[in-house]
Amino acid sequence: MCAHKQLEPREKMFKLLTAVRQRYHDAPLEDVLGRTIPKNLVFMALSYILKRNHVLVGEPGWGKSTVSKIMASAMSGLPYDIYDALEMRGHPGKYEEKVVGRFDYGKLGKEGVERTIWQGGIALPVLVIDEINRFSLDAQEAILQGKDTGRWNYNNSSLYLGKKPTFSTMNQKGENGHNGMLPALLDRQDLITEERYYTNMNHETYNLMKTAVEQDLCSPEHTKKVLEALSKDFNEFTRLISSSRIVRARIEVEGRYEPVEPISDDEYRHIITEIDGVDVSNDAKLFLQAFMAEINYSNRYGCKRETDPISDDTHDRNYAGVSVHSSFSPRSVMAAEQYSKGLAWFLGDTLALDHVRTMIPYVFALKAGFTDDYRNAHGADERTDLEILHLAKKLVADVYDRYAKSIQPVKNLIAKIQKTMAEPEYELLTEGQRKSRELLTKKEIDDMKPEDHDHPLMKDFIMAMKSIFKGEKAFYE
Amino acid sequence: MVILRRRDGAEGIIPGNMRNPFTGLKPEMAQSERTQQISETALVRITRVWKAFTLPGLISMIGVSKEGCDEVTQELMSRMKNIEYTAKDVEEFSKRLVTLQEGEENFPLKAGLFLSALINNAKDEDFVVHTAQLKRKPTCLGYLNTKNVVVEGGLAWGAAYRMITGTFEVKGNIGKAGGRNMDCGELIIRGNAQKELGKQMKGGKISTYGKVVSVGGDRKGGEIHLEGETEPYIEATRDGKIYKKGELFQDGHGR
Repeated sequence: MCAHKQLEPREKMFKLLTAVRQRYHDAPLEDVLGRTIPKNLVFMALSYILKRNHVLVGEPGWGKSTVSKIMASAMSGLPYDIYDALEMRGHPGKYEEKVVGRFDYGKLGKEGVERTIWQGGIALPVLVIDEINRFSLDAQEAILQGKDTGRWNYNNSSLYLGKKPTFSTMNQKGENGHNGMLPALLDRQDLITEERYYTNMNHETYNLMKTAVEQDLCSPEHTKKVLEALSKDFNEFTRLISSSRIVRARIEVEGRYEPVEPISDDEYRHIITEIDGVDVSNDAKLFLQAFMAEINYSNRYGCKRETDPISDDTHDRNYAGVSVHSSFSPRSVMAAEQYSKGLAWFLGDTLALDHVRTMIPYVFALKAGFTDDYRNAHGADERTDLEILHLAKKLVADVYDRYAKSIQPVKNLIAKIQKTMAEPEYELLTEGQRKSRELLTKKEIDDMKPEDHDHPLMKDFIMAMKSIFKGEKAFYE
Repeated sequence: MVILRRRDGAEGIIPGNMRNPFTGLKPEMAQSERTQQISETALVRITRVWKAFTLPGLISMIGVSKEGCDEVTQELMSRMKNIEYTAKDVEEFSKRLVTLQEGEENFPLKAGLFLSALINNAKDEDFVVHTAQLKRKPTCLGYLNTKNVVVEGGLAWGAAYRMITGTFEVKGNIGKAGGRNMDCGELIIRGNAQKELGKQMKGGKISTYGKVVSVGGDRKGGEIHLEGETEPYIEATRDGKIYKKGELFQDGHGR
């Protein structure tokens, strides 16, 4: 069926993004680790591939919803107008019934049978949620589980449709950027990007781009068929959706427009395997751990809790935890790691500290809940980013400075632990022999105390080391 | 709970949330705690910009114009602007150039303008670059220089071309037109200089300690101090002073 040359998946992704930028959405080109790329589109493509929840913020009218549907359509091949018809639109008066599913009232009234009629939006390859922060808390609760696990519940019915990527939009208003979003739903937002003004020079192309979307990515006839199926039979509707990869983004090559195939299931698996296999440097891992340790450690309260006041402990004041209200959850850590690997894959790199540094602000900005002190400290900064993104970047830069200054002792400890763990005769050696071979001695292990060290990462490593090398039971492989 | 196999074959148990965090890491080498391992990433990024950059066709085909050099410099600066690096990274990169010179048709000019932009774009003030190991020496190194630079080795033509300020010391020999068009600052040449030294210079000072083939003409200002045993040919000029071993030898019009 496909007469075009088979492209390597990464090349395909480049082409798809070029096509989107060329014809449908004029995203700015930005410098990312020395490469010039349409950063927001690349991050959206990664969210699609990694099946993560991506939030687009920005002023009204800057194309948050439009680019969500364009990207969803170009990547999946499902017509733009199906996404347009079935996107979930946030409204305070909208309840679970209009978002997830409702009873078949006819059947319930006549036969007393509780049958659920599911809403179409949950079955699309990408969940497109407009103004997510305007949903009622009940509706947010209903979306939460479906977004997180791919399982949708309504009353006693349960429908598993698999985990899907989500493109949600919200206007950036209110305190700390989370305009009444449920904390649990907020923590499930993996990445934030901003759609914003960057040049005046392309206003004449907006209409052309709209026409190009209609020409290339829409299929009114097919959409009509799909929506008719939805009103009659949900199973038929889902079958139609899964066989509806019918639209193609188009790219200009030597004056002609060529279609770019959407990402196929095989390519998708190939990309995921490649991203999983990206080689990870120690600095990348350790920096992520250092960031997590700085945010979550509290000398005064034991750990970071949103319910605790901001610590005024002298030790805590030296680390990033006092600049934010929220913790950096394992969910966020996993997101930061996966996105960093995704970025490294996209750029053809191995995963270095720089990729992690680049991605953490986008992962953490929305959930951080910056303190007033930190906001005031950077209130006069010149910036081009959204405030929370700017603050998150500053926070990461602060952590990086401390990391650069204090990581070498941590690495030295790791080197010694690794050497000790690799010594098969360890148990037979005397303390003197251990010392002369630069292995950890039992005395050293006993003497090393977390409270003697400043950096929270060092404290964590000492605790981990003590737990592993516990008395005579030490040295597991 | 995580169950791990001990070396003696018995199974041991460590508390649940305490998975061994050291097994997932690559081998670390103990280092002096003053060494910062992570500056490696800046070097990698600089190298990446080098590899991705090609001199525009015009500049490499018909030679160097100041407009061409300006265009290249601006482009390089914009590519480097988000890289945080130190003078040490620049020094390391100059050493790394030896592995990057093969297959680069216009290596001397690319290396010269690249290092110049790298130095001017950095936050530090004092730099050392190494050129002794290079088969083809950089040209136009020190273009629009504003920093204090020591070059360990020699340079081809155009050293400190259009230098703005700072000091630029070359420990080896330089090619023709050293200090051409320079505005201010000091160019020090410990080795020999080819012809047209200081051609069209407007200000600043050039000191040489080796032989000089000729002093360039059309100078509008500045001083050239010849400290070595040399009798260079001196081209006609409107202005500018030449000192020989500390004594004024020529002021203004030349022969």
